[in-house]
Amino acid sequence: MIELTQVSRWYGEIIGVNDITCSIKPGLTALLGQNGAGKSTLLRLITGQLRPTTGDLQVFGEAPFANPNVYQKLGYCPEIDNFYEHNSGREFIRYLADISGLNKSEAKSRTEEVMTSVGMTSYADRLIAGYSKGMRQRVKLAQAMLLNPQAILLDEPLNGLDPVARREFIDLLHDLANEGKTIIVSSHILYEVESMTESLLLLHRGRLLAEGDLRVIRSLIDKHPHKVRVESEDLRLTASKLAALPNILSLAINEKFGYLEAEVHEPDAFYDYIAKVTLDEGLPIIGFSSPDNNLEAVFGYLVGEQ
Amino acid sequence: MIQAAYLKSLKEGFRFNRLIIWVLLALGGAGVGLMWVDYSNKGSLQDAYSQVASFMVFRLLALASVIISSTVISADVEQKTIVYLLTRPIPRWNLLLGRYLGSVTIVAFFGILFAIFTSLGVYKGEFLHNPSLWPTCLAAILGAFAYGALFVFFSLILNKSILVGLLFAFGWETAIPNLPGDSFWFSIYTHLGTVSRMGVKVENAPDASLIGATVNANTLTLSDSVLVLIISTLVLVGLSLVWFSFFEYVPREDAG
Amino acid sequence: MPNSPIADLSYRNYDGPMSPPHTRWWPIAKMSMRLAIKSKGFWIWATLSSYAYLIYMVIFYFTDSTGTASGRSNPYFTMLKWHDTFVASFTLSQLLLLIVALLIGAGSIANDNRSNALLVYLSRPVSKLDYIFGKWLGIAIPIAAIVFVPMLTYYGYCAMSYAKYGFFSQDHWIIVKIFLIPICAGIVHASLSIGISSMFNQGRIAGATYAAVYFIGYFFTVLVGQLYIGVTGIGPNQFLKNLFYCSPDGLQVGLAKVIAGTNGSEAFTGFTRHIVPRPDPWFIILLLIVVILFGFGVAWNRIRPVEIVSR
Repeated sequence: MIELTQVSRWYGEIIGVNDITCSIKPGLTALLGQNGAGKSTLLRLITGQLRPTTGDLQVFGEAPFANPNVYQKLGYCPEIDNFYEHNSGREFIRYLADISGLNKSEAKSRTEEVMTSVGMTSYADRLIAGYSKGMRQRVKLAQAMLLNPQAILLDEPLNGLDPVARREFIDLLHDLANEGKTIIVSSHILYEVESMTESLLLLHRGRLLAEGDLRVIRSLIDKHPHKVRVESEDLRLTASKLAALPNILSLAINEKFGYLEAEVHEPDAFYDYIAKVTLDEGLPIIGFSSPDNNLEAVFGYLVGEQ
Repeated sequence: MIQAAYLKSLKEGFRFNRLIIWVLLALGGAGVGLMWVDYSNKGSLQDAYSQVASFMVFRLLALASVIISSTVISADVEQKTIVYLLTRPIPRWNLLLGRYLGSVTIVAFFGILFAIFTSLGVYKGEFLHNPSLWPTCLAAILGAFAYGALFVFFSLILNKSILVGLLFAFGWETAIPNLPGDSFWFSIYTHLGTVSRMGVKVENAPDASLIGATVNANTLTLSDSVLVLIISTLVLVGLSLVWFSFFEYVPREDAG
Repeated sequence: MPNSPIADLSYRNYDGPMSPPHTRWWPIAKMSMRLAIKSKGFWIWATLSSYAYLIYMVIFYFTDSTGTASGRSNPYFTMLKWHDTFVASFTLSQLLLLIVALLIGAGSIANDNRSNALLVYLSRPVSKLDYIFGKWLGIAIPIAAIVFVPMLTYYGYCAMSYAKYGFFSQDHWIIVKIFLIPICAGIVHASLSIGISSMFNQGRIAGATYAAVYFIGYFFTVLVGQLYIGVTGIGPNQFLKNLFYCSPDGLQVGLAKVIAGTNGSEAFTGFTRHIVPRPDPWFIILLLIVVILFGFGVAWNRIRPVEIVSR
């Protein structure tokens, strides 16, 4: 659906994105990176606001720059928080529906539908200047959904939202993804991305560092063994039993907080073993967790290596 | 799609708080016309109208065009709402053309308003019998197209397009027609003056006035002027449409 | 909570130096001026605005050379009124001064409005008057400087070269007047800029409005001038004479003429045939006060930290 082949984009002497090759399929994909990683540039390339300096970019089989055919099937929710402040939400959406080529009755009905689907019907006639941040984000999403596009791209959509609004927004995105749409959400806030999806595109300094499922990416980072934290009533006994496992690389006992931390290869085998040894030998294990099997750790490892 | 952009442009331009200012200016034109006739004891009403209209119609027309036509796209670029428009499934030139035509309609409307009110001030109850009124209205329409095309083009290629537009409207349009030779060909104001004098014999030529750009007599005919105005409009609109279709608009997030 | 394991590090009194309250407008003015002088356009238009002085200097140089070469003084200098040349050059620079005012002044408060910087300013121990006065000064000083520097340069050139042609004897007080005229220009542009800028939240629209006010006033007063000088056959009229100066550039030119004590003459030729005499001093000063009050009044009324949206 969205295919990038060695796409690069320069702003003068500054490189925005650097030789990116990837393919984005239907579902919810998170575009992750620090500030200045190239997320917005990539989104602007896909949404046809910029042309790639080199490489090939195809959205629904066509080059997207100023291409009405692509925009029929693509919606964009920008990061900017600017609107026609003197218009109401309804007027704003209706205007965009009108210039999108919908006839009068279609424009009217579609406006009402998208306002309802983002939960803005009660506030539709209020001036946008009086909207809260959450309302403004919803209006942005509503305008992106106007033509019922196959792909929706959202640039930092959760910025400034309170936790409740954030949860509702994420649920909305999941609903859209479940309808078979391609949803790309860019963010630099790792924990919110983690709660949304496991499908990632990870950018750093304009380059694509990793692409795909978070767990798969983690498992491939051999250089950084997995850390597993085991809480036990008898740390030394537990440590002596775990030390026998061949894929344990190191064990560290932290008596102050009551856990031991193991660095392991092949964590799945380790989890199987620890379950077996706990049952067979009655080890006093209270619980275990993996402090680095998360996006923050993955991001840190990948970015740190660059 | 062009229609939607056109209608929205009209709706924005005719908002009450914007409309009222231009209506008041038009009333000012009537006041000036009245004052001119009251303080004048030479020349016909036709002369008075010619003098007053040269400022109160055509200079104000240029000013209105700078303010309105310069912002058809630059307003959205500056307030960063251009991204919503550029990601609509319409060819970009549709958007620009619709907005351009909207700005031309608004400016032409104001120009005609200025012409009518100035005639009202000079001719009072007989204002519709002013032989220059309809040629002046036609000139206002042509001027709206020509100035609009020029200032839209400026707004696409230049940063401070309003400043450049003002310098053109009041610097270039004052100086160029008063230069020796045939430089008046390059002044929209001169061509509009030619159109507005169509079919009218001005008995007393106005006094030489740098501001009226009438120091040098010009040899323009009506057909010359209409042709120049139409061709310049078409060329500038064409260039603008091509430019807008290919230029990348990406406002910086950290820009004010 | 004295028994809390977390120390309360959130409040610390500031013990460092603080500016006394009466100079809090100065950092605001300084910031405005710094922003202005950073702009390339400011320097370009400021330099261009002094073109008339340069033309005068060139004319004088060649005229004097011609006269000297022939052994006799050029009669051009005997009919020249030196203070008229200052007024004429100041008049010719008006359009370019407007451009500078648009560049540095029109967006001064409007841009703060848009970026919510007003909230930041007014949440500091800075009063509204500090803010308005600081912005006003940040426009007035650069504009006054742009007028003053070429005027002073021209004064220096004429003082060194043309004392023999009555540069000092015609008017001993020119040096004082060239301090006052730029101040008037700065006051007028600053007052109008802050008044109009505070009415909008986009610098571009504020600039367009200021330009519209300027040019509409200009047209109006040119027409009035045409009436006054007898285009229509009616002679001098006191009402029309004063009305001629009722525009932003007319106000500045009127003040310049009153300060210089001259009715003015046409630039470079010295002819006085089509010149509107200087306005009544009481009228022009009253007009200046009205403009200052307008600017401060509108800005005072419009500036608030929170935008009130109603529908």
